[in-house]
Amino acid sequence: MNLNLNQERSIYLQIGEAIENDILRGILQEEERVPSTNELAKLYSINPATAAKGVNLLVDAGILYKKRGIGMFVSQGAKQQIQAKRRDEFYQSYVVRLAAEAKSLSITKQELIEMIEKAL
Amino acid sequence: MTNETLHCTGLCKTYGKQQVLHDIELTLEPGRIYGLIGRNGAGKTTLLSILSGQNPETSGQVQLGQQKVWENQAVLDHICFQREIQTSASAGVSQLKAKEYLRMASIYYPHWDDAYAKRLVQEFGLDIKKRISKLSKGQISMVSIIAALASGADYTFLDEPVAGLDVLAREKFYNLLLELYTETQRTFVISTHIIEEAAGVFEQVIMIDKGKLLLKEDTEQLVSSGMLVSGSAEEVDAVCEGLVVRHVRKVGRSKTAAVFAPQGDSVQAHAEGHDVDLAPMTLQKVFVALCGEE
Amino acid sequence: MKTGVLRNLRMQLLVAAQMAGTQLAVSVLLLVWQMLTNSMEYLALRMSISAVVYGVLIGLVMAGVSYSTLYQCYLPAALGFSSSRKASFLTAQATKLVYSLITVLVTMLLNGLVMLLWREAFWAAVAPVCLLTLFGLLPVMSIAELLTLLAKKFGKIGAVLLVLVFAMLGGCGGFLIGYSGDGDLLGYITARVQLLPGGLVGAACCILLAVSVLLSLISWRLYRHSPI
Repeated sequence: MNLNLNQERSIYLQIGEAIENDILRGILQEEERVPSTNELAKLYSINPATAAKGVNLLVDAGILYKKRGIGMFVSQGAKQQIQAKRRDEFYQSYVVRLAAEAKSLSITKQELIEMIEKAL
Repeated sequence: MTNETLHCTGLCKTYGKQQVLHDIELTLEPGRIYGLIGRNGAGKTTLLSILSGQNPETSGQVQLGQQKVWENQAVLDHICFQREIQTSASAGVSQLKAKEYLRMASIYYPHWDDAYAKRLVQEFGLDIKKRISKLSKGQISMVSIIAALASGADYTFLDEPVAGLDVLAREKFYNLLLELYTETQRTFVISTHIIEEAAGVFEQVIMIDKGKLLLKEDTEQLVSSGMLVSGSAEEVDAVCEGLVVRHVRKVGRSKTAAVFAPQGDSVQAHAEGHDVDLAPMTLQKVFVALCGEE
Repeated sequence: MKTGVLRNLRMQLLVAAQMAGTQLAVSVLLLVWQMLTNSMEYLALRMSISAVVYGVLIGLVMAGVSYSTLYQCYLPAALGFSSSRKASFLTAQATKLVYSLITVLVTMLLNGLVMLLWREAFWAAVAPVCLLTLFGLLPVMSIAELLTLLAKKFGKIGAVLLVLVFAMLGGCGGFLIGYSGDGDLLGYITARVQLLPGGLVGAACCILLAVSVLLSLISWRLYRHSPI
């Protein structure tokens, strides 16, 4: 788990992302238990309510599910679900920005495509 | 553990000719960590001292649930307000030995946890046989912190607890606070100047400026409600139409503005189509934007 | 409020115990010094009087100073620990009596040595002095209380007054102690006191009590709304 929080984004979002990253990397397997909100709060030195908010986001999205009295667990198919979500986000967060930046630098479409092909 | 809220309505405080608190209306709920921020002299200490019954209000009501706080021992048993122990007076509390001070705390606070206090003394490495006035500034803060955390009070207020503590000691304090909070669900109100490192600890932020309550909000919500917009002056001005602009910095033809979007609106929506950079705000930047001089 | 008073009592009695110890120690020291500077015949008579005198004088200064410390140091700490003003003030009044009793008891203790030699005259001589001391210390402490509160409210002026008053008391004490060795002024005073009719002593005690209570009422008005 990446224990570095940056100041730029909401903490609870970063907590959610850190858990998602662990799922993607296989550090957290499906049906495995995720750290409790208190454990997360202690790890990151943040208010438990904030940690809970981050976890609940994932619960609402179906990536985690709650077992009463035991804790939070990774849902079946969570990895695929996260990947699909990130693919959608990829367009918004990277591609749109890429296009805007290229435009401000007066890079033509052709030049941009050549650059991408070179990088891949 | 009490389930009642600690609240005040119409709270005003005047010292002689000077009015230091104007019509404050505030409700503190059980089981939360609040951050109280404001400039020097904004009225933070006065507010906390009145809420904890250590200072009388000039007008207004201060209650725990339905009961008045002032001089009401049954209510006072649930409240703790630890201020900085002043060393400036030649006679006074600072003449006591730290050991005596903590012994007194154990007599007065009905829910005092002595084992916990002893553990904290060890963790902080304090020599409690010394007179408080002979301790370093950081160590004096630690005595205050120990008294507050071990008090076991449902509503515990700390006034600038980390002043004089170095970075490592501050981190230790936040960790201890969170650990204690997780275990006991007591309400803590921490007034501080060192905003950014504590921002993650506060569930809600209470901001005071010139004796008036500016806001009381979820930390996350507050921080995400504003953004820094920068770019050329004309573009920035265009984006700022219809938004609350709080703080502007100009350099040549470029401009950076701290803006807040009213309910239902978003800064991003306004920025659509304009060539500006958007950066999120931190709690400290929000504070500067709202309370700094123009 | 009962629990509040009990807590304050616990704390204030601890302080009173410290004070008693110091008072006993200082009194014994002075008495020993007196013993060393006088011949044996004098000793029996002189000692019991001196014991009373030292007990009273030291009690005077100590009561004033200790009590002022109570208000400068311990009571503000109590308020800082969420005690109510009512509870702390009431307990402080009880503590005045405790301090007075301590002074008188210390004095009696010192006299215990000489009691064996001077049994009948002992009570006649010492009793009125003890009573007057008991009641006389009350207004002294009330003055200390009032002056300390005024000093806190009005700053420097009050503090100067406080120092002046206790310097004066200490000066009187020193003067009287110096006298007792030669001119027997103290013996004279004590002898006079023992001749006073019981009624007069009783009346004096009542007046002293009344003065103390009056001053305390003024102090309460200052204390009840004071910020910490």
